[in-house]
Amino acid sequence: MSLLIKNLEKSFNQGEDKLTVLAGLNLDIKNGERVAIVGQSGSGKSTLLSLLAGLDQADSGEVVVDGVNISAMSEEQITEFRGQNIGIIFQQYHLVAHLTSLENVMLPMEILGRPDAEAQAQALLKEMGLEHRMNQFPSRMSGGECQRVAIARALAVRPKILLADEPSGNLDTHTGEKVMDIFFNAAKKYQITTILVTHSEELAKRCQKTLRLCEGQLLEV
Amino acid sequence: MFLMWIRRELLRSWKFGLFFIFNLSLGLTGYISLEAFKVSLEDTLNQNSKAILSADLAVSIRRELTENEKTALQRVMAKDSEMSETYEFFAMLSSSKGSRLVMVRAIDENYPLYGSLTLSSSKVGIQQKTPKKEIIGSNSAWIYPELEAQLGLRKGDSFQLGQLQLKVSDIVAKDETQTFRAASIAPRIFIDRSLLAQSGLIQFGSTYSVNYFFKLKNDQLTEDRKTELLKVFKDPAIQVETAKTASEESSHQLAYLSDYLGLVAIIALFMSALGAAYLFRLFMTERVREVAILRSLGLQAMRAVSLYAAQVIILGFLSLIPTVMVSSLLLPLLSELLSSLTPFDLHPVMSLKAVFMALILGVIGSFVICLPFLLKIQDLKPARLFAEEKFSTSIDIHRPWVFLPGLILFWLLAVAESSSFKVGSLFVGAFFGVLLILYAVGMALLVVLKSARKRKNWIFKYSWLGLSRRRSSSLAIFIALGLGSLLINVLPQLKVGLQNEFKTDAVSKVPSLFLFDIQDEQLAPVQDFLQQEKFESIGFSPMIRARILKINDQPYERKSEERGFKTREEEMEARFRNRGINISYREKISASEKIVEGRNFSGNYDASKQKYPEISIEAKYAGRLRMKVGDILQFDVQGVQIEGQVINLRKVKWTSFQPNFFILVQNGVLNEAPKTFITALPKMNEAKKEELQLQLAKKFPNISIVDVQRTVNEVLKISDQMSWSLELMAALALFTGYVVLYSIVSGQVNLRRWELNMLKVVGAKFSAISNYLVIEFVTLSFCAGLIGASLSMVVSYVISYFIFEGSFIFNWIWPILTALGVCLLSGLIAFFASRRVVRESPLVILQEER
Repeated sequence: MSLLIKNLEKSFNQGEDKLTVLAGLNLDIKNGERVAIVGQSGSGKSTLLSLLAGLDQADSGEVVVDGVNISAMSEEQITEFRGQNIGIIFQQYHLVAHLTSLENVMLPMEILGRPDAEAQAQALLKEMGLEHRMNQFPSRMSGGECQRVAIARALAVRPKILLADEPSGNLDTHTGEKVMDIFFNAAKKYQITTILVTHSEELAKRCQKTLRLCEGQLLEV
Repeated sequence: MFLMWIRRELLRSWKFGLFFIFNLSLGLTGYISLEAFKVSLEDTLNQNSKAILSADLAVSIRRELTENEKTALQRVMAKDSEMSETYEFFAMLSSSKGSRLVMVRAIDENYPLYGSLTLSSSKVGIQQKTPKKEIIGSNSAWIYPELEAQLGLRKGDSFQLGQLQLKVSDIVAKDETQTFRAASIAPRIFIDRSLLAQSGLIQFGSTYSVNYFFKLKNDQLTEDRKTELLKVFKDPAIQVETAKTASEESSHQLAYLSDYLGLVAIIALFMSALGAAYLFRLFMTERVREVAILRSLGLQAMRAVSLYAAQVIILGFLSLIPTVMVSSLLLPLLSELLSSLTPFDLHPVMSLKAVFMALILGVIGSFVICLPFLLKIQDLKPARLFAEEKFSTSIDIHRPWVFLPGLILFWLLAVAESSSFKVGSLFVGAFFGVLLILYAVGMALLVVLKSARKRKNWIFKYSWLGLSRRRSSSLAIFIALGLGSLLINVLPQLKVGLQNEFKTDAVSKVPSLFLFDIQDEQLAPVQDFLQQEKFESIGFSPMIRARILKINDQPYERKSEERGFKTREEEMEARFRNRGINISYREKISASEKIVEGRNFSGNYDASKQKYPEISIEAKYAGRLRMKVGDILQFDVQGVQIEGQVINLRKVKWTSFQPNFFILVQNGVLNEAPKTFITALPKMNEAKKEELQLQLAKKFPNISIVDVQRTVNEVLKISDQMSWSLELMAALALFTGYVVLYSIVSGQVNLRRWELNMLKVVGAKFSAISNYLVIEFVTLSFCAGLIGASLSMVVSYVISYFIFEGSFIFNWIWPILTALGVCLLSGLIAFFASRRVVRESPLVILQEER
């Protein structure tokens, strides 16, 4: 699934001042391409990601996914679209606390009414090396395990686009590497268009394209 | 610095603070309004106590005083007091338009020594010694306005009372000498005492009381005089009352009612405390991480506890403001509902005592309910900040004793409100029994809901799994809703039972008329008359005036408490002990009676075979006076001493309105004793009843006739008035329940904003998210409503069984409506709370620190 960003603008009010984060940003990502976005803290990486996920509204510009302008969609429509096409991985994992890891992975499939949610979720967790943690609650799992569950959840509905915000940011180096191996392997295996926001040059190198967000514009590195 | 922290914290969490205050003040409002009403009633009664008794001190007895007793009375009282002597008894008043039972008060020139009777044309009393009381020295009477309404009697109209032909001199507009006016079964009339002799109304065995009222020159001596009189009068049937005890006595029905209102108010208070505690728990859940950080920066544990304890105390203090404001609005409504039960104009105001109570309860109550969570701060381990796993913000309670102060406070309030250690403790016991049942059923429900993991529909599956996994909040909601449904159901259930009792019996067994004071020599003529008129009497029961001298050889003494009774039980026992008794004799017990202990009478008394005659005692009467099977009682019957042994305890169905007695003696012992008879006449139509009353009053003017249906209606009217005020308080408790529900639901929704938005992130539709939440609360509330309503049946049945002697009737409509209502309202609250959350941007919520 291709992703086209046209003249995307986003600014925030800070008291009487206006802080422009994205200033007429343009980007074209091909189907199955893996793109890393790097930049300093506060450069707007996460803001860009939330606009691509339809979690926030841009001031102007368009986000076009496979020819569909998602910026023009209502919140209800974008929610449905996101559920079917976009998988998101957060730095903070954001798992539902009172659901087990298996249920967390089943949840998006069940929302879409997909059959065999349980079997597919079990298979995904097995792929993530979590077959022995399927019935654990997030509070009983380590950060690495939680993030692997989050990756499995993001992949559960076979999304066309995968958005990841510093997925290894909360993990130690060893665990982080292990988690990112799983992440890239899955992205390749399922041919998902992937956008990875990261501080790490090493991780960025594992993507086909690296873009730096600077003063509201994306520059190819 | 510390105070600045507190101020900053309070300002920062102002929304929590306001809602906490709102919750707490809602519960306090009912309680404090009632306290203020009680204080106001007490003040009014104290101010009017002399008017109520119409004297400083009164001696009354249901017979003439003996010469010795009269001399003793003169010796103690004559030296420094003014006296008024009156007689009071029931009699039939007949006019051209019909007959009515009336309570006659035969007075002298001095009556009333205090207070006033407001007549439609003048006011008679201490304030106005003149004009002359027109009824004194004339064949005229003052009548209560009910007679004007019922018989159309107007000023100047004539009527018959016994042998007397009297004229209505005036209508009584207001009588300050009576407090609980709705309770009387017959309207009063006032006549000149000197007319009694020619009236023929007081004969041997007639039910009447003689009252000697005294106005002391120095009213400080009242208690001394009372003590002296109690020493000289050995018969406990001689009542010596002071203005204070009379006002307490005359308002005891209202006092009982306000006791029960108080208990309902305590439930509202408990529910609001539950809500406030839950809000504080949510607040602390949000603050616990911050507290851990402060602790890691060097803040001492006790200081951290004090920081939040001080906030709670300040909020408790602030809850005083809305409490007093709303109570001031509620008070007039409460007094409007209850004012018809007292002749005084009650203008209740928020008293200092009530404000002080609100302050104490607000401050101490807040602290006590939040104590379990405050202590948790002390246990907090800042080291957990370093843990790799997410910092747990949940507050669990591992020390059950932390709930003890709250329990003790609740128990103390219940005992104080009911003025009874027994009732208060039973209430608390039953309340916690109900809580325990609700807890157990709630737990079972959550276990059942665990099986939802097999469900296909994700909304049902995760709603129910969520409920079972968030156990403490699910149980809190379940219990609050269950209690609310129980409360709102109990009163209507009892009312239906009681009304049905009267209704059913009205069709079948309850008689139309009740005749008493039938003299021995009138028995045959009355029987003949009834036979002529083709009336079948339910049977004539003899009634003999007696007094108990000894129980098991121990003198049966009067019981009094100069400083008032500490509990309702003491008061009840003294009331029963101090009044004279009417005893009867029968061959066997009647259909409206049932032996609960011991055996039936063995037949007629046979002095050659039996050491003692057999006695049967009504079970509750025996319980109050601590009599049991096997006890030997000694009576004085018109100067003759008789001994007997208790052979059984009986349960009497009083609502059958059959002639029943507390004490029955075996047939053949008292048959020759001077006596009167009472009888009941079966159901008849209104016209026949009117005609018969008129004829009986003409033919046998001394016989009193009670219109049973009219009395039943009066009782129902009073019970309606009482239940309205109880329902008002129960509605307040239910409203508090809903505010608690709202607090819990919105607190839950707020706490779960992140989770609900996560559903949006993974693609759940808005309607699905709303349904997800609505299903949770509808499931909980439906089950809680159903269990609460079912428990209300059990509670109503138990109350009916023990208090109303089994007048329970199953009414299924109200419980079902309640369960559905609770369910619908909960669903609506959840729906609107979820709408608020789904409209929020998921990004804002996801960016918030969890």
